[in-house]
Amino acid sequence: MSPRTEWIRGIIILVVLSLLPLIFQNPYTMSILILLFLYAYFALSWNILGGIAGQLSLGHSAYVGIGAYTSTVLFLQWGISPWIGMIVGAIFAAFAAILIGFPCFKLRGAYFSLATLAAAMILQIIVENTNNLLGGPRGLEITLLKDAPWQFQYTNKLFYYVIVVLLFFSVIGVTRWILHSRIGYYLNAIKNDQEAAQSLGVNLTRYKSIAAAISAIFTAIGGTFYAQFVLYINPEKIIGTNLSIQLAVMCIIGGRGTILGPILGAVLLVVSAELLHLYMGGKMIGLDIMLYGIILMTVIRFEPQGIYVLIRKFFNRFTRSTSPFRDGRSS
Amino acid sequence: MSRLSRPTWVKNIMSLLSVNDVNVYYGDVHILHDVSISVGEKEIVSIVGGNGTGKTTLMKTLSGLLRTKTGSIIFQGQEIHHLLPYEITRQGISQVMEGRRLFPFMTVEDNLWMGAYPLNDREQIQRNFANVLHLFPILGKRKSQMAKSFSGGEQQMLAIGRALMASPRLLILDEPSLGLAPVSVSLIFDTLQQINAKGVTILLVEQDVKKSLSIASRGYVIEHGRIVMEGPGQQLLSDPHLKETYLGI
Repeated sequence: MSPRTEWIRGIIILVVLSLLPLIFQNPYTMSILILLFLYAYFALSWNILGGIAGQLSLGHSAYVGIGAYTSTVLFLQWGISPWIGMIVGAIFAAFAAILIGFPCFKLRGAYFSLATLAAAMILQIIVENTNNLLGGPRGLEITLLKDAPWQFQYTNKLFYYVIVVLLFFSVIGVTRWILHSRIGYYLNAIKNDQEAAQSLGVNLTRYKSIAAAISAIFTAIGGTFYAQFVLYINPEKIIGTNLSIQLAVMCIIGGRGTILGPILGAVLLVVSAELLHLYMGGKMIGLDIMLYGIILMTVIRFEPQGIYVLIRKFFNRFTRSTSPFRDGRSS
Repeated sequence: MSRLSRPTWVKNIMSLLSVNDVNVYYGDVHILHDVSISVGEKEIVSIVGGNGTGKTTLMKTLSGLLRTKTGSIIFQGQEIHHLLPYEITRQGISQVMEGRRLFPFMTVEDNLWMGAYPLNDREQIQRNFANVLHLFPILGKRKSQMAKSFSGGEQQMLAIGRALMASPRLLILDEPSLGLAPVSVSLIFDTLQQINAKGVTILLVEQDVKKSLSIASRGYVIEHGRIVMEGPGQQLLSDPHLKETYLGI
């Protein structure tokens, strides 16, 4: 695709997205729309480490937690604006990702996944046992200020919609940049065969750490957004294993390592879960988790590379892989 | 030709690579016992031996994937046995690993560019790319194809091409003939001689004793983690012990 058609496509998507709130004016659909973008954003953030670098993290809820708790505690204790807390949380998350990654990156496959899962569980236990500062298992409630944009609060949901759409595009931009840069190229090699990449001179820890840090930064920013949108956080929901697995499952179902894949996965899971809630109400709790399981098994069985590949096959578009070195150097 | 009693590195101080009394362990298991080899500038040196004699262990030690317990490895006058794999590659040692180890879901072209990782000079990379395509025209014809779609022989060419992209001074190959059709093996060995003629030193580890010793200027025989013989390739080939053990004559 030429850059020009890509620009045109981008502008069309932006126009459609800015018109969406006009159609869905009732607060309930608006909330779902916001959550949809938030989950797609989370999935894309996970995708940077789990998809592009191929390191299947099952501990990403730790970064959501770090983002949400950092901004909330800074706000509740010292009245610092969550906008600033969001940046502080992102920095904390980047450090945490490197700290967790350093010992874990030497592990492969399932062992890496289990280590990250354990890291998130440890964080959850720490938060649950810190009653004074972090509110323990009950969580923290953010003081309602109504219309206070500087404190990241607003009664009109459009405020949150605009922010989440901006976040969504920023993570797409960064993903695109990574995919087309040398870093993405090296990460792809690591994903293909890490020992071979190492023998060619690639510094594995360095590139995995870069991917982990970028992924954690975006995830933590999403955590702050979630806290400000819902105005209530608790360790089970924010740092719990469920969220980590959901993020990974979205990407795996949609198609790891691509841009459209995680978005498709997020849309499929969020919409199906909401429909279930809508029609089943409070009955049959856990049905959505079962549904995730069924979708996951079906996709892994028939198209392990995700729904994205199926759709691409359907449209039968021939997309060439692009190398960062391609421009004029290779032929 | 001599049966080894003492390491020979002392007299080879001018060599490009010298491995001196190296001992390597997997946990508690002693794999390499006082291994000493030397590779001179622009030589083809072949290390031969059967399965499980420590050939691949030696290769992994040279590339920094395994650590020596005692002994030293000196490349161009510098100790490299304490360096990390990516630092060793930057010194000018490229390795073609056993089983090729390509990036299966990357194109031929991307696999090759990946080999140029240690280089920063774009013009140099471009020159290397042209040289590799000249050496293996088939890679140029099919450069946008995925590496996994290649046959064994083609994959080996790609693996060698990828290693050459880093402009190595020393090219190490671990079992390049493994699992290839005889015609491909001959082609690979011919190419290795061409590469050597251009000034690249080659260290070859092989089970195909006959072929590898016939192109080697010198050879070593490794048994149970020890170097038991060394000498010019042709002389080794006529050694009665070697003939009996490896060639079945």
